[in-house]
Amino acid sequence: MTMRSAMTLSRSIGFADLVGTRTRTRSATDSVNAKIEVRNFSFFYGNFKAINTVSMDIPANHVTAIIGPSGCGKSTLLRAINRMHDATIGAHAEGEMRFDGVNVYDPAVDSVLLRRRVGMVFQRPNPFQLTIFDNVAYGLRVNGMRDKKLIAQKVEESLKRAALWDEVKDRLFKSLGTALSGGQQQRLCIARAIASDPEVILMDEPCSALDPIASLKIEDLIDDLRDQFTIVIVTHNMQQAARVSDMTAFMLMNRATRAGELIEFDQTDKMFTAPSDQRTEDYISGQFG
Amino acid sequence: MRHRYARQLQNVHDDLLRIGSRVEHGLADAMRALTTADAELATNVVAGDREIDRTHVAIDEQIFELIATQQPVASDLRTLLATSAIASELERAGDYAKGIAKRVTVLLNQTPIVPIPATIGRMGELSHQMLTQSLDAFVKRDIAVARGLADIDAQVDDLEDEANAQIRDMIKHDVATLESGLILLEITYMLERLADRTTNIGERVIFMINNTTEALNQ
Ligand SMILES: Nc1ncnc2c1ncn2[C@@H]1O[C@H](COP(=O)(O)OP(=O)(O)OP(=O)(O)O)[C@@H](O)[C@H]1O
Ligand SMILES: [Mg+2]
Repeated sequence: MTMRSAMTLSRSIGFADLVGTRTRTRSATDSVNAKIEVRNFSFFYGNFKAINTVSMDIPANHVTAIIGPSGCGKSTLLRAINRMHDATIGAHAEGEMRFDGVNVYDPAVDSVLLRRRVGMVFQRPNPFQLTIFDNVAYGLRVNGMRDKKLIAQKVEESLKRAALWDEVKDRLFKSLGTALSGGQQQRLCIARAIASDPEVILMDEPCSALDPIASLKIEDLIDDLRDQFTIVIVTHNMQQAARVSDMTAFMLMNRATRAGELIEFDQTDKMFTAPSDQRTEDYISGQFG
Repeated sequence: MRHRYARQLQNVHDDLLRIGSRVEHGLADAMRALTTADAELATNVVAGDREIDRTHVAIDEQIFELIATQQPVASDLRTLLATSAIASELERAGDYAKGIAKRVTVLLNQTPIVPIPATIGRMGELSHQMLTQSLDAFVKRDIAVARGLADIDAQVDDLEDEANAQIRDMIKHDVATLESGLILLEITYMLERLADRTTNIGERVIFMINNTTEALNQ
């Protein structure tokens, strides 16, 4: 009985147990380690504390979803992972955001190098006003790749991994990225993000501007990418979080302090069948507010 | 928020209690028909079972629709799955009550009229108590109440052995009671099975509350 096995698994917590929770997973000997360790992490916009002492381990080569009501700090947390807030005046962090054991807020960390290892896909597809080919090649050239053959090879490979190749291979140099459909644009942005071989891909509501079919294509793509990348996705669609992720983090704004807090972080199976915190239960059941 | 959803969940809950109460009445009436030799009451129980079957189908249709349209999760989902399973258990328990009532009708046409062993009456009372208690556990979401079913179930099992020994003795002493005795053996069997259904309900209730499986019927 599948339910019984899901329950046995969900009783033990921690992502070391993730191995085997999905039918498609790796062998039991594989160990799952934390790619990103968030430790007592708080984030401020000036005097305003947007998130308060969040701690969680984001497992390597798995999909972690962040859910929670609007304004609870999901995007703030996601963007903090690759220091996207660096340019925001007054924005600063406390605590640690360790990437492969290194605190990314350590002054010695080069944010440009960091972003090469941590790609980002946004809510609204944002292709450049360039050809489809150049959209993907852009990041490679910025990163110093000059070999044209290698670039062409990399572009093809990335478009294939982003499940877009078949739809665009005949017009790589003819069409602008901006001329594609919304769903294709988003997959183009994913191809652009994966072209420079990042280790982590951050996605902030990547499907919210897409129709259901295009969304499901992105979900399939996320499923294909999970073996090569560590994926963190913010989504307002709880069923999407349930479908695509291995781990789910639920955040909520503290009413008194207005700061976002991590309420519960656990295996997605567990979160959607038997969450530990009543607030998680209320939120995922839509009995909220 | 989600008013329609909350209403639908409530409807399913109410329908389950309705079916539960019908089965309780069916069993009580079947046992009363047996001990008071009331053929008409027995016939009513048989007729009343159709309503139980109809409500069972209606519950499953509602749950099916709820899952398809409202995507229930967590506790709501466990409750709906438990409700569907409990409705099936109740439907089967209702079938046993109907089966007992049918046997009563046949028994009343036998000669000689045999005395009904008090142990069978006691089995009926305990099974009825278990039915009520399993529904209480569901309504109150009370694990202790559900677990309490295991003890009563053991008592029912013992009573069945005792009753069956008495019935066999009766047949040995007077072979003319053979037909009636066989019918009584069927009735004790059905009461024992009915009690087992209520421990299944208790197990579903525990799953619904705790997300764990526990056996209440060794
Ligand atoms: N650049 C900024 N300057 C000041 N405050 C900000 C800034 N960005 C976000 N905030 C505030 O921080 C809090 C968290 O915002 P954030 O965008 O992280 O929420 P969210 O969970 O992603 O919400 P949504 O689901 O609506 O996208 C909010 O109160 C927001 O107003
Ligand atoms: Mg956001």
